Amino acid sequence: MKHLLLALAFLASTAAAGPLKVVCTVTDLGWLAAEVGGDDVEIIVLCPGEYDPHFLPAKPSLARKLGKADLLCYNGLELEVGWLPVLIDKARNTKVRDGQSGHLDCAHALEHILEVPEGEISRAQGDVHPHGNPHYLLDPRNGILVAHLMAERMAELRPELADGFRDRADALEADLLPRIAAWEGAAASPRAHPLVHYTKQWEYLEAWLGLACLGAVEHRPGISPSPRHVDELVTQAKYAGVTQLIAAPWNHLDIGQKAADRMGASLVILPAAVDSQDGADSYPAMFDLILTRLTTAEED
Amino acid sequence: MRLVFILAAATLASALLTASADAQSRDFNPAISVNALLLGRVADQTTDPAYNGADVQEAEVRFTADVDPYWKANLTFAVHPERGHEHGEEEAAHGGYTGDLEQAYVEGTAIPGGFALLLGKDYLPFGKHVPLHTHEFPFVDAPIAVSTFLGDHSLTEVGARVAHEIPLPWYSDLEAYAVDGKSEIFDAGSRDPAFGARFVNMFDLSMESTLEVSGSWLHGPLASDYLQLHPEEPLSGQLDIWGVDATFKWIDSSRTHGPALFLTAEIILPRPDQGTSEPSGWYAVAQYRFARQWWLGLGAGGMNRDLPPDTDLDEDHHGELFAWREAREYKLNLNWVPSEFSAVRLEVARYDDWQGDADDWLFSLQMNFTIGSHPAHVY
Repeated sequence: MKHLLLALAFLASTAAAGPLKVVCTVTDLGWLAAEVGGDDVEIIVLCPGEYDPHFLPAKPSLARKLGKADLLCYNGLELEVGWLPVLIDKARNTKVRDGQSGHLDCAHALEHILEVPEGEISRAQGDVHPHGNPHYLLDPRNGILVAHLMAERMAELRPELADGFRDRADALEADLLPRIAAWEGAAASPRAHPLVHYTKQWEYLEAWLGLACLGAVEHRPGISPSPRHVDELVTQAKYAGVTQLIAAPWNHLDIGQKAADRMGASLVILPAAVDSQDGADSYPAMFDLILTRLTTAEED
Repeated sequence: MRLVFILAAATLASALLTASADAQSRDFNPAISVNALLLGRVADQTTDPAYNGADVQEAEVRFTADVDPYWKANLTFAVHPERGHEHGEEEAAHGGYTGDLEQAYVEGTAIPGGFALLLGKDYLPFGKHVPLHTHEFPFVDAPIAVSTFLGDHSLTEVGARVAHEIPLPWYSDLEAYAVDGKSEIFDAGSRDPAFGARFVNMFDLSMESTLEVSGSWLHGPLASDYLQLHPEEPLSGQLDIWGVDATFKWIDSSRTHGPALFLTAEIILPRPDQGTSEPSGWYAVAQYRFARQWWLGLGAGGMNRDLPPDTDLDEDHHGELFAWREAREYKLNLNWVPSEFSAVRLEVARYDDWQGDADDWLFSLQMNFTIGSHPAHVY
């Protein structure tokens, strides 16, 4: 009997020492979790980079993946509100439910959330996010904050590996900081002229790089732009000398292209997530590509 | 009376929530969403007021919240017009409404071992159409196979449901339930429970497409007037209903609200102990998003009660339009969906009476809107 208990204890300790199964909702978080977790984690990403993360179809096969997770890392601020609650319910995994240590809202890492509505909001403003703009990972400084938060949560779940998680988060920060300085320097030329967005998505990027934005073609989130609004925006853009209309790959690029043509600007498609475009296969590579495209379009 | 009760209960709940909010915080209030369907329609032949005129087809209020670390609760109240043939033509003509508690259940959130547990009142998991709320229907009306054999959108039952995934290479889930058996297809006076199961299999064909093939079965005490039958002696015995359904979905991933195609087909085979031999029904639906805000719907269906020729049908039970012995339906609609929270639908439906002359055309204009919390999108 004693030997049986010892064997069971050994098996249990072996299982606990296995890699931490981490499910991330979006590719940016997946890349950060892989960097922090190293060989001590298995990463699964629910939303491929080429999908608009607002509208991922909540396929049961995704719930199945979530059902095996030790840790769920999600963007929060209601980016995934249309599909993640369904997957969590369907996953039947008590470890990743709200209130458990396997449930990590990465927005809790933020020091400053942009566009938190003040006063009354309504759907007349479109599909607004009531807790603030959720696209914070387009500022790499937020990526560093999220990496440290992930490290702490992974350390809580695997205390024996805590030092490794924290060391890798520190190393990631050390790697990103000089890159951030370089990206800020490269943004000098795009700062010369205000940008127009296809839809509200790039506010953190602009706030970080000091870019000016004149407005968005799709100014009410989730609502098709009215011809009148586009007319007004085109007039303003011509007057302000806008040279770039920036869009995510999943935006309605035909509408964006027409608006850009009327403005006399270039439609610049930027990677809005890791793996959303060729060449954006990592978090740093995504910013490399963003800065390259912004500066190239400005020079053209 | 029931409507008065529901409104009083809702008012009381609202007052309690407000009082709670004033005293502490609104953070613990449930997520509330309200959906309403406005419907204007005209029929070519029938003069039944249910199919001619304008009305609120249904208004639904839904509350959702975690109860505690162990349960998550859902409550849905629905209000819809009283049908003239149920409560008197005069009352319907004066715009009477009736309400119902459609859902009131808790789901276990701390159930170990990958099990799901649901306790309370909910739609039975039979096929693809029965679990849908009215505002989720692909067409204004349910397929005639569903409304004839499974009840007129009322297959909600109180009981317990357990589900667990089957360890297969694809997504596979088995759900079993036991319920009170008080829906219109069951004998409400019986003490026998109803029970059944659903077996779901879904295959990822690609990142963008899936194929689901599923089967359903339910068993319960047979309603004395099942299938609107009017025998000299009320029906008795048991009712089994078998069903199989298949759904293909493709959603273009390259852009937000890009093209999408949903194809669904379902076969329903009721086997009551008495009254009819081998009734059968089917429907097929195609929904295609051809532009960001536009969906096209195409549907067909049929049902055969398989009745002996001398059997009387109770036309007053549902109205003469749906009192066919055997019929086919063909539907086409165009849907304008300007946002996730509203939609306008223009629809034409053709019903062919295969054993009589009660053919008809039905033209409908439906407005669908939702206010309140953001709805999650079930796949």
